[in-house]
Amino acid sequence: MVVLPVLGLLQLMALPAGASLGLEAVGLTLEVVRVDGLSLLFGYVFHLAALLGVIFSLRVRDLGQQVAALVYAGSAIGAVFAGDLLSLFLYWELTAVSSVFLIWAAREEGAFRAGLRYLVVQILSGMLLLLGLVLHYQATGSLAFGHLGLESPGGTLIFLAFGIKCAFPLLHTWLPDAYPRATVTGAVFLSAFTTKLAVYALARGFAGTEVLIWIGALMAVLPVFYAVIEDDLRRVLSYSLIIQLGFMVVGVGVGTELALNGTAAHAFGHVLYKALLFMAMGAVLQQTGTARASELGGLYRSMPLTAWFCVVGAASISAVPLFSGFVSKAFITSATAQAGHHLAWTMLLFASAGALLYVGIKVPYLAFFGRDSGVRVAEAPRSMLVAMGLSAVLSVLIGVRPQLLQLILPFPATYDPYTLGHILGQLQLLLFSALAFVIVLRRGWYPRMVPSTNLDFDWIWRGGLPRTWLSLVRLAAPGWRRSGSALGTISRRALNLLQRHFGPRSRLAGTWPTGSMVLWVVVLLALSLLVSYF
Amino acid sequence: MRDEGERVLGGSKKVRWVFWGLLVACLVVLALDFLHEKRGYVPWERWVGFQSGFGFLAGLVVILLAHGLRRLLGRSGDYYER
Repeated sequence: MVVLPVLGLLQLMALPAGASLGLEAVGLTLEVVRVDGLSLLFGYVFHLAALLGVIFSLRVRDLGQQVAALVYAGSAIGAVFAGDLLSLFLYWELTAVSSVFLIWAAREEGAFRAGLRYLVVQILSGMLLLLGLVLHYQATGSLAFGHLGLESPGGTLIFLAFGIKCAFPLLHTWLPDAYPRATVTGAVFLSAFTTKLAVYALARGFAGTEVLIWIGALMAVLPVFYAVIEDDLRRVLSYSLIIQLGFMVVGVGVGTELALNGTAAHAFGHVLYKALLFMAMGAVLQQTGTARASELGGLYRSMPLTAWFCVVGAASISAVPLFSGFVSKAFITSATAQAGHHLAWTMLLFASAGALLYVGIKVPYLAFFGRDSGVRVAEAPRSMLVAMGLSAVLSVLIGVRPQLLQLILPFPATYDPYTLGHILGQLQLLLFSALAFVIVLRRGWYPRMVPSTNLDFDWIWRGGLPRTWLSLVRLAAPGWRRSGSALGTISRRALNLLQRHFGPRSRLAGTWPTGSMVLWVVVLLALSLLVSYF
Repeated sequence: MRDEGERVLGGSKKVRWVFWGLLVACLVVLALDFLHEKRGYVPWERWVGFQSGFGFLAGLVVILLAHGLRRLLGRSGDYYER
């Protein structure tokens, strides 16, 4: 299992840029493999993520889960190399169908339902993509997946399809719903592929679309508040995923070479440190049985390595200098500023501070340091530690040697974040917001961590609508039952009739001998023959 | 409220050390900002101590709003199962 991603990576590195594999099928010209700077970068990081995830889940005995994870990784990789919309669509759906098993593998009631909700949303995204590409093909006669733009035929539909998988505001609720309910190892895979695939797709099809700047800015800012009040730390990580996606989406929206480089770099780094964070919390979940801040604390005594790896991940996501997040965020923010989007830049700055405090500090602090919950467990197994260690090393490597990343960035545009001015500015932001955080903690202003459900936009179809429907039914039911009215009696009679003939114990539901089935088929064929003759 | 905070913080001697260390680091960085020539594409990025004040305010503002948000959106853990 470990060998597969390594082999894939080697094969990938051997592929020349510009390589392409065409296919003629059902009268369409498809470009099944298209290799260029952008897809190569995502291809590399997806292989890395697959490798790290596989090492992390080495001891998992659930074959179904392991297979699902590999199919998921593979289909994401296939999707980034798809050169035409139809191939993209096929891989797109495959990622949805394979990843849902990583949620269902948790084998809990909540996970089962969350997986269903997840599947519905992901398939919806696929349907929108299909509709969009059909419209596009009808209008342009081509399925090539290049820059589309909102104005192109089917463009808006495809944009929405990408947006769902990218967790746009109001389309995002599936992420914090499903990811915390996935398995310990499943969440690591989930965090890497679907959302970054969507970022790639946006970068390919909608670079420079200005509305993305605002969508991204909102995505970066709004989840900060949810992250503060959330108790389940894996849900905090899910909201923080959306925050970082916001940065990437802003980069796509700005559309300059520097911005797109920033998005690519941020996606690369983010896959690594997000996987690391989910790995750390996954290890905690596995060892202690919970990932809730209200039940954890003081774990660094029992899980010191996991704790320090988590700190590395947290430092990366907070864009501390010398870690990967610092470099990639600098690309995006400076590109945004250079392009003149001052308000968006300020919102991103706010999100940076928020992400530091309510993810970067909160997660490691409440789980590993801080108050001692008395929980004492064994350190995570070696396979998990190795995976976390590798991710941590890579995150730091990118941070101290950003030139390495520059080698695989799609464009030559570059920005050196290690200037005194930039470092100073970032340190000010980080240190002063940390100061605010400590003051808040000392004065007891921090919201208490208690198990709770915080309502998100999906309350509408998970809470509001069902409850309204149930109340209406409850109001109508007594009247319905009591009604001697004709309508009541007729519908009851009709239902009984249907039940008798089509219900579970009826003749039609029973088994029929083959002979009589054949007879009926012959009769039907004869009838259709007669009908078509006349 | 004060109780909760101290419990969460865990060990006041360590915390005091962290707090004062942090404060010193903040003042150092702020002082450096006065000495350094600021450049930036965004007009307010060039104000002295902008990032400091912004970071500090952001930290506080988020907490304030989060309290309100919790009151608005917080429900029991099994809200959707009932």
